[in-house]
Amino acid sequence: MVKRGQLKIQQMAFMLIAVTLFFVLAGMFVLVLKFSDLKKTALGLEDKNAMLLVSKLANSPEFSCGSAFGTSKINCIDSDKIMMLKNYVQNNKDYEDLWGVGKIQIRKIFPKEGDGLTDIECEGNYPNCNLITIFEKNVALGSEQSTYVTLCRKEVDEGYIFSKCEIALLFVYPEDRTNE
Amino acid sequence: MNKNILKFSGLRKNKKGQEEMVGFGLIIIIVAVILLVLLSLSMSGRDKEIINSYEISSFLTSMSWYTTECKTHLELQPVSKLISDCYQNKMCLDEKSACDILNSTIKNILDASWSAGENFAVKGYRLRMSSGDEESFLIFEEGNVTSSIKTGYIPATNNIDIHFSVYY
Repeated sequence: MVKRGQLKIQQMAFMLIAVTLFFVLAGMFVLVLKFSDLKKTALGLEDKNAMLLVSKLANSPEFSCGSAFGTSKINCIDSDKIMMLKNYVQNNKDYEDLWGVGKIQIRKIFPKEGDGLTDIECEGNYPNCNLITIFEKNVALGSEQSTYVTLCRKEVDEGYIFSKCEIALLFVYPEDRTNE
Repeated sequence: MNKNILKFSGLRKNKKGQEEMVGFGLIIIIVAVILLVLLSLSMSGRDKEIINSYEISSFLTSMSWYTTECKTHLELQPVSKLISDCYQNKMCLDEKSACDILNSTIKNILDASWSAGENFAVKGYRLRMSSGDEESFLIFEEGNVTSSIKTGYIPATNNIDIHFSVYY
């Protein structure tokens, strides 16, 4: 009788261990699935946010090439227009609030200018430079968002005007509002 | 006689209990093994993630509009036009092959834009151009292939597609 009771207790203990093990494994399985999906969703959202913010700027009328360089292109920035905009924003600080960001910068990455290691800010040396800081507000800046853009301008060679397009990165720095 | 019968029935009950326990144990082991296999499968499957990236697509788009040195008539050709010229084995005005200029231009662009290697965030990349179902006619590779991949694709002119994969 005692032996039978022991056997029953043993059986129940085994059963409890098995059920616990089953739920632990099933829980781990669900957690792994859920967290990997979260990671993917976060990456997707991050990419989408950066894309929306930077694309909105690159394709805004103040930046975009429009049809000035043949067919209209996506993420194409007219650098001649940008240099005019840069000068205008320097004299009209109110204009900085138009885009709702802290800093906008364009860095030409190919072809490289100078030694290719140090940035050359575009002022009177345009187009022999690689960095155009359109404006920079005197505020704390958030982490940068960037996208590749085509940077186009008009050039004259032997009396002919032609389009020259290069590869650049458009950097947008949002204002850091974490301390507000 | 009665004593013997009781002893025999007790033995049968014990054996039956043992069989039940062995069966139960087997079921637990089988279920645990199946769960572990599923778990490891799902984890190994997740490691190799291929993400379609806007960064890669925007890079390909801006690269395709880059103005090359190849002059035909009065215009300097963009990379997108040079790709189809290369596919048709055309020459530029200065008698240079469209493919030679395309090769050097894309190689220089990739070197300037994507630093790949063991000491960088980008471990390697692979850019290939193909027309329809044909094999790739131009491939640019650097570094190692890993399981974390970001890809981008643009359909270029004359049915020539550009695929670019970056390995992290």
